[in-house]
Amino acid sequence: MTPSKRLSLFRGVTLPLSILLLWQSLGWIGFGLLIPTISQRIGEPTDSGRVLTVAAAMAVLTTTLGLFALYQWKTTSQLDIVPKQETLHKCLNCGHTITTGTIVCPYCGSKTLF
Amino acid sequence: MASRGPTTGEPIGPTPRPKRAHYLISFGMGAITGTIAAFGETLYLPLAIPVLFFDESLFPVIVATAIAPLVEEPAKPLGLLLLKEEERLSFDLPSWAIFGSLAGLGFGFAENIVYSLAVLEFGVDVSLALLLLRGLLTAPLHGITTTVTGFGIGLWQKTGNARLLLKALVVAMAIHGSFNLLASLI
Repeated sequence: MTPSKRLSLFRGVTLPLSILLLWQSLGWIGFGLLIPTISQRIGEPTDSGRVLTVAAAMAVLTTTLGLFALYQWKTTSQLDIVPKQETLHKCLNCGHTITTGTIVCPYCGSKTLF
Repeated sequence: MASRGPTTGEPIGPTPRPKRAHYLISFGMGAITGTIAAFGETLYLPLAIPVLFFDESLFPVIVATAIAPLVEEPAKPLGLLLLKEEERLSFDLPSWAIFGSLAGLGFGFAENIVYSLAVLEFGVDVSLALLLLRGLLTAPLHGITTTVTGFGIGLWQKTGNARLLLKALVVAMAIHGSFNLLASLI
C-alpha cells in the first residue's frame, strides 16, 4: 500500500508556477546572450560581463524554484477549503436573526427571505 | 437555473469544471489590459511626478518598480473578477490559479507585441529578437504574478475573506517590482 500524499493548500499554484519558472529560466539564458547585441544595436551598450553574471544567477535561481515547485506538485495532494455553511442569517424584511432554510420568517411572516 | 446559497448568493453543490470560454475570457481580458498598459504608460506616469522634485534619475526606476506593479497587478485579473463577481462562478483553487496564469500570459504577450513593434525602426531582426526575449522572460513573469493573484481570488471565493486576495496582490506586486528593479539596475 502506498503512503498517502501530504495535503497542501498551495498545490494549486505549484504546477503553473513550475512551468512558468522553467520557461523563464530559458528567458534568462536568452537575456545573457541577446541583450549585449540588442543594446549595441539600439545605441545603448551595456556591461556584457555584468549582464551574463546576473542572467546566469537568475537562470539557476528560476530553475531551482521551478524544480522545487514541480517536486511539491508531485509529492502533495490538494487541500481544498470547504466554505462554512452559515446556520443563521438575518431576515431581509425585519432584520431578526433566523435559521437558514426557514421559508417564512417567524417574526414578521415575510416570504422574501432570500 | 443554478441553485444559490441562501445568504451569500454563491452557487451550491459540486464545484463546476471550467469551460473553454472561461479560459478564453481570462486570457482575452489579460491581453486587453496588456495592450492598454503598453500604450497607456502615460496614464500612470503622472503618479510618479512627485519623484521628479527629489531626483530626476530616480523617476524611471520608481515608475518601473513601484508604479507599474501597483497599476498592472490589479488590472491583469479583471477577467477572473468578471467570472467571480459578475457570473458568480465557483471553481476549485487550481482552476483559479490556471485562470491567473492565462490572464498574465495574455497580458505579457499583448504587451510584448506592442513593445516589439515600437523598436521596428532598429530593424526587423532587433524587433524579433526582442519579441523572443520578452516572450521568454516577461511573459512568464506576468504569468507567475497573476497565478498568485488568481490563487488569491480562489481563496477569497472559498473563504469570503477579501483580505486573502489583498495579500496575494501584495506578493504579486513585490515579485513584479523586484523583477523590474533588477532589470533597471542592469
